[in-house]
Amino acid sequence: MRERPALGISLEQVTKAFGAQLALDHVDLEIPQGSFVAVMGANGAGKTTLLRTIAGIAVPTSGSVRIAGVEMRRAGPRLRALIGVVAHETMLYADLTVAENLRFHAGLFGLAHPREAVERASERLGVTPVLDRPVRALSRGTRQRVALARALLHDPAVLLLDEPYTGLDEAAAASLSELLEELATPERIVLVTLHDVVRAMAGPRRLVVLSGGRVALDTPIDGRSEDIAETYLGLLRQEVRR
Amino acid sequence: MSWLAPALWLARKDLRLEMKTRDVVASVGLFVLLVVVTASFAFPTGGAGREGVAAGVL
Repeated sequence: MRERPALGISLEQVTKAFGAQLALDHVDLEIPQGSFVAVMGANGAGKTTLLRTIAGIAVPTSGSVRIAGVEMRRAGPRLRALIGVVAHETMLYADLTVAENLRFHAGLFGLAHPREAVERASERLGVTPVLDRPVRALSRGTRQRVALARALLHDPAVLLLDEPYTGLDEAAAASLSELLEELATPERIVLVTLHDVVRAMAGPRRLVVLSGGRVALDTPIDGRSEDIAETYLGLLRQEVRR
Repeated sequence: MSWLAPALWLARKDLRLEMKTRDVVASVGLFVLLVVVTASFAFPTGGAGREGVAAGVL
Protein backbone atom coordinates (compact mmCIF):
# COMPACT_ATOMS: atom_id res chain seq x y z
CA MET A 1 0.00 0.00 0.00
CA ARG A 2 1.48 3.36 -1.03
CA GLU A 3 1.94 6.08 1.59
CA ARG A 4 -0.22 9.15 1.43
CA PRO A 5 -0.08 12.55 3.09
CA ALA A 6 -2.78 13.36 5.68
CA LEU A 7 -5.78 14.20 3.63
CA GLY A 8 -8.66 16.57 4.07
CA ILE A 9 -11.14 18.48 1.93
CA SER A 10 -11.55 22.16 2.52
CA LEU A 11 -14.14 24.36 0.85
CA GLU A 12 -13.84 28.06 1.40
CA GLN A 13 -16.63 30.42 0.31
CA VAL A 14 -17.38 28.23 -2.69
CA THR A 15 -19.95 29.64 -5.06
CA LYS A 16 -21.07 28.02 -8.29
CA ALA A 17 -23.42 29.90 -10.57
CA PHE A 18 -25.20 28.70 -13.68
CA GLY A 19 -26.19 32.00 -15.25
CA ALA A 20 -28.25 33.85 -12.63
CA GLN A 21 -28.92 30.63 -10.72
CA LEU A 22 -26.68 29.95 -7.71
CA ALA A 23 -26.18 26.20 -7.26
CA LEU A 24 -23.72 26.75 -4.40
CA ASP A 25 -23.76 29.93 -2.40
CA HIS A 26 -20.65 30.71 -0.30
CA VAL A 27 -20.22 27.18 1.04
CA ASP A 28 -17.64 26.62 3.79
CA LEU A 29 -16.87 23.01 4.73
CA GLU A 30 -14.00 21.22 6.41
CA ILE A 31 -13.96 17.46 5.89
CA PRO A 32 -11.08 15.74 7.65
CA GLN A 33 -9.59 12.37 6.74
CA GLY A 34 -11.68 9.45 7.98
CA SER A 35 -14.99 11.28 7.56
CA PHE A 36 -18.13 9.51 6.42
CA VAL A 37 -20.48 12.31 5.44
CA ALA A 38 -24.06 12.26 4.18
CA VAL A 39 -25.06 15.28 2.10
CA MET A 40 -28.80 15.82 1.97
CA GLY A 41 -31.23 18.41 0.71
CA ALA A 42 -34.23 18.85 -1.55
CA ASN A 43 -33.92 18.48 -5.32
CA GLY A 44 -31.87 21.37 -6.67
CA ALA A 45 -30.31 22.13 -3.28
CA GLY A 46 -26.80 21.82 -4.75
CA LYS A 47 -25.78 18.30 -3.66
CA THR A 48 -24.59 17.08 -7.03
CA THR A 49 -22.87 20.38 -7.78
CA LEU A 50 -21.06 20.13 -4.45
CA LEU A 51 -19.80 16.65 -5.33
CA ARG A 52 -18.83 17.69 -8.85
CA THR A 53 -16.97 20.70 -7.47
CA ILE A 54 -15.03 18.58 -4.98
CA ALA A 55 -14.24 16.06 -7.71
CA GLY A 56 -12.86 18.86 -9.89
CA ILE A 57 -15.46 18.16 -12.60
CA ALA A 58 -17.10 21.57 -12.02
CA VAL A 59 -14.98 24.67 -11.46
CA PRO A 60 -16.33 27.01 -8.77
CA THR A 61 -17.33 30.49 -9.91
CA SER A 62 -15.54 31.84 -6.82
CA GLY A 63 -13.96 30.46 -3.68
CA SER A 64 -11.57 27.58 -3.35
CA VAL A 65 -11.69 23.80 -3.01
CA ARG A 66 -8.57 22.21 -1.55
CA ILE A 67 -7.72 18.57 -1.22
CA ALA A 68 -4.69 17.71 0.94
CA GLY A 69 -4.01 21.46 0.97
CA VAL A 70 -3.78 21.71 -2.82
CA GLU A 71 -6.17 23.95 -4.75
CA MET A 72 -8.27 21.77 -7.09
CA ARG A 73 -7.88 24.27 -9.94
CA ARG A 74 -4.16 23.53 -9.91
CA ALA A 75 -4.53 19.84 -9.21
CA GLY A 76 -2.46 17.56 -11.41
CA PRO A 77 -3.25 13.95 -12.29
CA ARG A 78 -1.66 12.67 -9.06
CA LEU A 79 -4.06 14.62 -6.86
CA ARG A 80 -7.05 13.77 -9.05
CA ALA A 81 -6.07 10.12 -8.78
CA LEU A 82 -6.90 10.32 -5.08
CA ILE A 83 -10.57 10.73 -5.96
CA GLY A 84 -13.09 8.08 -6.96
CA VAL A 85 -16.53 9.13 -8.18
CA VAL A 86 -19.75 7.18 -8.57
CA ALA A 87 -22.14 9.46 -10.42
CA HIS A 88 -25.92 9.25 -10.38
CA GLU A 89 -25.79 7.44 -13.73
CA THR A 90 -23.39 4.52 -13.75
CA MET A 91 -21.70 5.69 -16.99
CA LEU A 92 -20.74 2.15 -17.96
CA TYR A 93 -20.51 0.99 -21.57
CA ALA A 94 -23.59 -1.20 -21.91
CA ASP A 95 -22.25 -3.21 -24.86
CA LEU A 96 -18.95 -4.06 -23.17
CA THR A 97 -18.61 -6.77 -20.56
CA VAL A 98 -17.97 -5.90 -16.92
CA ALA A 99 -14.33 -7.01 -17.28
CA GLU A 100 -13.86 -4.89 -20.42
CA ASN A 101 -15.36 -1.85 -18.68
CA LEU A 102 -13.13 -2.30 -15.63
CA ARG A 103 -9.99 -3.01 -17.67
CA PHE A 104 -10.61 0.09 -19.78
CA HIS A 105 -10.82 2.32 -16.71
CA ALA A 106 -7.84 0.63 -15.06
CA GLY A 107 -5.93 1.51 -18.22
CA LEU A 108 -7.12 5.12 -18.11
CA PHE A 109 -6.05 5.34 -14.45
CA GLY A 110 -2.58 4.29 -15.62
CA LEU A 111 -2.41 1.41 -13.14
CA ALA A 112 0.76 -0.65 -13.27
CA HIS A 113 -1.11 -3.95 -13.00
CA PRO A 114 -4.62 -3.38 -14.42
CA ARG A 115 -5.56 -7.06 -14.53
CA GLU A 116 -4.80 -7.57 -10.83
CA ALA A 117 -6.60 -4.33 -9.92
CA VAL A 118 -9.70 -5.51 -11.79
CA GLU A 119 -9.60 -8.87 -10.03
CA ARG A 120 -9.19 -7.23 -6.62
CA ALA A 121 -11.99 -4.69 -7.11
CA SER A 122 -14.41 -7.20 -8.59
CA GLU A 123 -13.82 -9.66 -5.77
CA ARG A 124 -14.34 -6.92 -3.20
CA LEU A 125 -17.63 -5.88 -4.77
CA GLY A 126 -18.78 -9.43 -5.50
CA VAL A 127 -19.01 -8.92 -9.26
CA THR A 128 -16.51 -11.65 -10.23
CA PRO A 129 -19.31 -14.04 -11.38
CA VAL A 130 -20.58 -11.44 -13.88
CA LEU A 131 -17.21 -10.31 -15.26
CA ASP A 132 -17.93 -11.81 -18.69
CA ARG A 133 -21.47 -10.56 -18.97
CA PRO A 134 -22.35 -7.42 -20.92
CA VAL A 135 -23.38 -4.54 -18.66
CA ARG A 136 -26.69 -4.25 -20.53
CA ALA A 137 -27.70 -7.66 -19.12
CA LEU A 138 -27.18 -6.64 -15.48
CA SER A 139 -29.70 -5.41 -12.92
CA ARG A 140 -29.50 -1.84 -11.60
CA GLY A 141 -28.03 -3.09 -8.30
CA THR A 142 -25.28 -5.06 -10.00
CA ARG A 143 -24.48 -2.15 -12.29
CA GLN A 144 -24.15 0.03 -9.22
CA ARG A 145 -21.70 -2.50 -7.77
CA VAL A 146 -19.71 -2.46 -11.00
CA ALA A 147 -19.63 1.36 -10.92
CA LEU A 148 -18.33 1.16 -7.35
CA ALA A 149 -15.73 -1.42 -8.38
CA ARG A 150 -14.61 0.96 -11.11
CA ALA A 151 -14.33 3.83 -8.61
CA LEU A 152 -12.24 1.62 -6.30
CA LEU A 153 -9.85 0.32 -8.96
CA HIS A 154 -7.17 2.83 -7.99
CA ASP A 155 -7.90 2.62 -4.25
CA PRO A 156 -8.98 6.28 -3.93
CA ALA A 157 -8.58 8.17 -0.67
CA VAL A 158 -11.70 10.23 -1.39
CA LEU A 159 -14.86 8.44 -2.49
CA LEU A 160 -17.75 10.57 -3.75
CA LEU A 161 -21.12 8.92 -4.40
CA ASP A 162 -24.08 10.73 -5.89
CA GLU A 163 -27.39 9.18 -4.82
CA PRO A 164 -26.08 5.62 -5.05
CA TYR A 165 -29.31 4.12 -3.66
CA THR A 166 -31.49 5.28 -6.53
CA GLY A 167 -33.32 2.35 -8.12
CA LEU A 168 -32.00 -0.26 -5.70
CA ASP A 169 -34.32 -2.73 -3.99
CA GLU A 170 -34.12 -3.16 -0.21
CA ALA A 171 -31.66 -6.07 -0.36
CA ALA A 172 -29.31 -4.29 -2.75
CA ALA A 173 -29.58 -1.07 -0.70
CA ALA A 174 -28.75 -2.90 2.54
CA SER A 175 -25.79 -4.55 0.87
CA LEU A 176 -24.60 -1.14 -0.41
CA SER A 177 -24.91 0.32 3.11
CA GLU A 178 -22.72 -2.50 4.47
CA LEU A 179 -20.21 -1.89 1.75
CA LEU A 180 -20.04 1.86 2.44
CA GLU A 181 -19.51 1.14 6.14
CA GLU A 182 -16.63 -1.12 5.18
CA LEU A 183 -15.16 1.49 2.85
CA ALA A 184 -15.36 4.30 5.40
CA THR A 185 -11.96 3.60 6.94
CA PRO A 186 -9.93 6.14 8.96
CA GLU A 187 -7.71 6.63 5.87
CA ARG A 188 -10.55 7.47 3.51
CA ILE A 189 -13.15 10.20 3.10
CA VAL A 190 -16.55 8.96 1.96
CA LEU A 191 -19.08 11.57 0.88
CA VAL A 192 -22.51 10.38 -0.19
CA THR A 193 -25.56 12.34 -1.31
CA LEU A 194 -28.85 10.89 -0.11
CA HIS A 195 -32.57 11.53 -0.03
CA ASP A 196 -33.48 9.01 2.66
CA VAL A 197 -32.99 10.39 6.17
CA VAL A 198 -33.21 6.91 7.73
CA ARG A 199 -30.30 5.73 5.62
CA ALA A 200 -28.34 8.86 6.51
CA MET A 201 -28.77 8.08 10.19
CA ALA A 202 -27.73 4.44 9.75
CA GLY A 203 -24.16 4.70 8.48
CA PRO A 204 -22.64 8.15 8.01
CA ARG A 205 -21.13 9.92 11.01
CA ARG A 206 -21.87 13.46 9.87
CA LEU A 207 -24.79 15.12 8.13
CA VAL A 208 -24.56 18.19 5.92
CA VAL A 209 -27.85 19.61 4.71
CA LEU A 210 -27.89 21.99 1.77
CA SER A 211 -30.74 24.36 1.15
CA GLY A 212 -30.73 26.74 -1.82
CA GLY A 213 -27.01 26.15 -2.28
CA ARG A 214 -26.16 27.04 1.33
CA VAL A 215 -25.18 24.84 4.25
CA ALA A 216 -28.33 24.84 6.37
CA LEU A 217 -27.20 22.18 8.84
CA ASP A 218 -23.84 20.58 9.57
CA THR A 219 -23.91 18.18 12.50
CA PRO A 220 -22.30 14.98 13.70
CA ILE A 221 -24.67 12.03 13.73
CA ASP A 222 -24.53 10.59 17.22
CA GLY A 223 -27.13 9.34 19.67
CA ARG A 224 -29.47 12.21 18.76
CA SER A 225 -30.43 10.79 15.39
CA GLU A 226 -34.16 11.33 15.97
CA ASP A 227 -33.62 15.04 16.74
CA ILE A 228 -31.39 15.41 13.70
CA ALA A 229 -33.92 13.66 11.46
CA GLU A 230 -36.66 15.96 12.82
CA THR A 231 -34.51 19.06 12.19
CA TYR A 232 -33.81 17.86 8.66
CA LEU A 233 -37.48 17.27 7.93
CA GLY A 234 -38.26 20.72 9.34
CA LEU A 235 -35.75 22.26 6.93
CA LEU A 236 -37.31 20.36 4.05
CA ARG A 237 -40.79 21.61 4.99
CA GLN A 238 -39.48 25.20 5.03
CA GLU A 239 -37.98 24.61 1.59
CA VAL A 240 -41.30 23.34 0.23
CA ARG A 241 -43.16 26.40 1.63
CA ARG A 242 -40.67 28.78 -0.03
CA MET B 1 3.54 12.02 -24.19
CA SER B 2 1.15 11.50 -21.28
CA TRP B 3 -1.81 11.66 -23.68
CA LEU B 4 -0.70 8.69 -25.77
CA ALA B 5 -1.56 5.88 -23.34
CA PRO B 6 -5.11 7.17 -22.61
CA ALA B 7 -5.62 7.78 -26.35
CA LEU B 8 -4.64 4.17 -27.08
CA TRP B 9 -6.98 2.88 -24.34
CA LEU B 10 -9.81 4.96 -25.82
CA ALA B 11 -9.11 3.72 -29.34
CA ARG B 12 -9.01 0.13 -28.08
CA LYS B 13 -12.32 0.58 -26.29
CA ASP B 14 -13.97 2.20 -29.34
CA LEU B 15 -12.74 -0.57 -31.64
CA ARG B 16 -14.00 -3.22 -29.25
CA LEU B 17 -17.40 -1.52 -29.06
CA GLU B 18 -17.51 -1.26 -32.84
CA MET B 19 -16.65 -4.94 -33.28
CA LYS B 20 -19.65 -5.77 -31.10
CA THR B 21 -22.26 -3.31 -32.30
CA ARG B 22 -21.18 -2.44 -35.91
CA ASP B 23 -22.99 0.86 -35.42
CA VAL B 24 -20.47 3.07 -37.20
CA VAL B 25 -19.64 0.56 -39.96
CA ALA B 26 -23.33 0.26 -40.84
CA SER B 27 -24.06 3.99 -40.88
CA VAL B 28 -20.82 4.99 -42.63
CA GLY B 29 -21.25 2.15 -45.14
CA LEU B 30 -24.73 3.36 -46.02
CA PHE B 31 -23.44 6.94 -46.35
CA VAL B 32 -20.62 5.83 -48.67
CA LEU B 33 -23.06 3.90 -50.85
CA LEU B 34 -25.34 6.95 -50.99
CA VAL B 35 -22.47 9.24 -52.05
CA VAL B 36 -21.30 6.82 -54.74
CA VAL B 37 -24.80 6.42 -56.20
CA THR B 38 -25.49 10.18 -56.10
CA ALA B 39 -22.12 10.97 -57.64
CA SER B 40 -22.54 8.39 -60.41
CA PHE B 41 -25.80 10.06 -61.48
CA ALA B 42 -24.65 13.65 -60.92
CA PHE B 43 -21.31 13.67 -62.73
CA PRO B 44 -20.77 13.18 -66.45
CA THR B 45 -19.00 9.93 -67.26
CA GLY B 46 -17.59 11.06 -70.58
CA GLY B 47 -17.06 14.02 -72.86
CA ALA B 48 -15.48 17.41 -72.22
CA GLY B 49 -16.98 18.01 -68.75
CA ARG B 50 -15.25 15.02 -67.19
CA GLU B 51 -11.88 16.68 -66.55
CA GLY B 52 -13.51 19.82 -65.22
CA VAL B 53 -15.58 17.91 -62.70
CA ALA B 54 -12.61 15.75 -61.58
CA ALA B 55 -10.78 18.72 -60.10
CA GLY B 56 -13.84 19.77 -58.14
CA VAL B 57 -14.41 16.27 -56.79
CA LEU B 58 -10.81 16.00 -55.60
